[in-house]
Amino acid sequence: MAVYYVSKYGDDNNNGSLNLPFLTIDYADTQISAGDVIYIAPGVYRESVQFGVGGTAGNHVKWIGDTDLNQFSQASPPAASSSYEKGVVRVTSAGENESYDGANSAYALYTYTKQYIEFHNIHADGGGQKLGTNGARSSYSFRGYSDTYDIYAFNCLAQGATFGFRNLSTANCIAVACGQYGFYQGEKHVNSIGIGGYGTFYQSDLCVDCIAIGGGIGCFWNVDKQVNCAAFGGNTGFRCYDQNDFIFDSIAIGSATGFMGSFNTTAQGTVISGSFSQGCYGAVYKGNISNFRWGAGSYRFVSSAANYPYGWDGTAFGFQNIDNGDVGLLYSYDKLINIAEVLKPTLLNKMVRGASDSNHDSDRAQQDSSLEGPYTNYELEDIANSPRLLGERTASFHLNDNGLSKRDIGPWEFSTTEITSSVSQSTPGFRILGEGIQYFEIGQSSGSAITASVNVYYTSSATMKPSITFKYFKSMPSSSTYNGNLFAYSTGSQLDIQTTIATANQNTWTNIAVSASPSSNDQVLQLQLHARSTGSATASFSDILIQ
Amino acid sequence: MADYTLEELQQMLVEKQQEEAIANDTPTVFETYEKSIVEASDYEEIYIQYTGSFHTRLGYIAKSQTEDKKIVWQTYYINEMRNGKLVGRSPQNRVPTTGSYNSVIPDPTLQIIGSREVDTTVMKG
Repeated sequence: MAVYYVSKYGDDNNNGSLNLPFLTIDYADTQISAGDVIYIAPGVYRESVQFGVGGTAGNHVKWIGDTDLNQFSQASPPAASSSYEKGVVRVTSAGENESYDGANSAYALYTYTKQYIEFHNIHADGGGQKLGTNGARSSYSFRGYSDTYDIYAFNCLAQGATFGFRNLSTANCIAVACGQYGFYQGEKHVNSIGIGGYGTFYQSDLCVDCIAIGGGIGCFWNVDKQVNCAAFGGNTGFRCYDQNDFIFDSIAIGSATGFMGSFNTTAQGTVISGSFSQGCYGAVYKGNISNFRWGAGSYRFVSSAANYPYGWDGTAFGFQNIDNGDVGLLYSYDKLINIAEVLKPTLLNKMVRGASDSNHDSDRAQQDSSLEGPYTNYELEDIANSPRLLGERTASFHLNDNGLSKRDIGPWEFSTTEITSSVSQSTPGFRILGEGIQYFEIGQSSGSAITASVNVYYTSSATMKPSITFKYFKSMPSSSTYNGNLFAYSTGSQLDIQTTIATANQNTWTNIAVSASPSSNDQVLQLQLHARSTGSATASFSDILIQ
Repeated sequence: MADYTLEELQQMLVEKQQEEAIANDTPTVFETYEKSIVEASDYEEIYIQYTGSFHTRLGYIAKSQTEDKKIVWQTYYINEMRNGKLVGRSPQNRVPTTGSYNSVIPDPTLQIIGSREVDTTVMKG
């Protein structure tokens, strides 16, 4: 393996050493072999490079922007009265006027048919493109020929091109203002962020810990596997292609449709689990939904092919009176409206699912087995050492009682429940707003009968009444039966649900209770409090007051 | 206007979006042509280099006999100057010429479209 250097103080007559660097990336590419590393000093490289040398599976070619002068600080002064400066390593096909004058597609860095090339710490843009009969159709910041060529970008920025990253795997990369696609295809995108474009992440195989903002047709469009990602705005937050795909632990905010699964099949197929839609016109279109929450949208938009066997329970939580300053998720979930906080996508899983939800971890691990390798095996050290991937913080939802008090309600209570006053016989202690559903995870000892009862008060019509529910296994499955994946197992016919709906008229306090007699540890899974229709599903909800 | 259910309207919207996405993602005639060569089993890729200073890559030829297609790419450079001395060449553009496998298309030659002083400006992030 040889090491070469490129600098704007260099000369292509040089030998490419630290003190005698090359001037152009294009020339350096004619001097290297598989496994070589090339450090590039900060500067603006106005080149449209099509690489002629690639690496091998065990010997990648690495083009590394030395933005912090880790290498060049040890070089001799580049010229009289000058020294190297820290800064951006920019490669652009644009001329000094920042427009591209070529007659064909412009690209800053194009690996063409070469394989196993890595880019690190490089800002690349395609420049503008002239319109006209022979005008450039597309511009590219980073381009590989197809996903089979194994091209990678780490800590890179693509800007102002038609395609930001095309057919590359990326980690810690950003595509900004790339007109058509921020990240087009590519096998893996980890911890990357796309802002704008028609499709922000488009037809990729896997996105983990990624954020997309404002994708025209979609933030994540026809992406096969999506884990722990966030989408803001756009026509579609997340869309899978077929029934083998899945979306885990992801959040869509303000998209026309938050989640769209299994487009290419009539079956529900796509697993959408542990995810959350907020403020989307439609929350979900198709999908095999579990542990899903939605809020403040117009429709659930679930097609007849959708399946929501567990965790949905036919109700949803909405948020009322936000305009009036009452409790709403946007108030209590203040981290979500703080973009700086959201740009730590590793945290999203914990925000949605909680740090100690081991059932979910095993559930997800089972899905990971359908990938070529676990998504946590990023193959390359650079990704595994990503600062954001190493981030740890536990964040759960907090109730905000109009600023008077706060209570951590844990990761599983997504209702807009508020503390109303001190508890007494005559006044309510809590209030579930509107369609809210309150979950309590249950653990009980073997063979112990368990009863839950609560005094409730409601004002809705006679067909929409408070209910109390136990969810539990008909018989406790053996660990070999459910194979470590209790949540997945519990989505089938093994689950029993026992519900008691209030019978008293509205505007009066009434007690509702539910009982179970489990024979094994943890046979009862969950206690729920919510409103349930006793007739037409079109009845209106009201707040439920709880003593 | 016909009465549609919400679900029917949503399905229509989804199908329309898919049509739009496909239309946006359709490769050009040239991209299809190039892909058929690159993915052919007998794909050949020949780089033409200048024998003078810097051994500049003048362009390359991509061709396939089974596809009976050929593309000759001509690269255009800008001379990079420092104090009147030529210190490098930066590629700015490439132009393809297509033909059959045995068609006579001239090999790329050294094409210089301009010159400029090396700019050492460093952008700050």
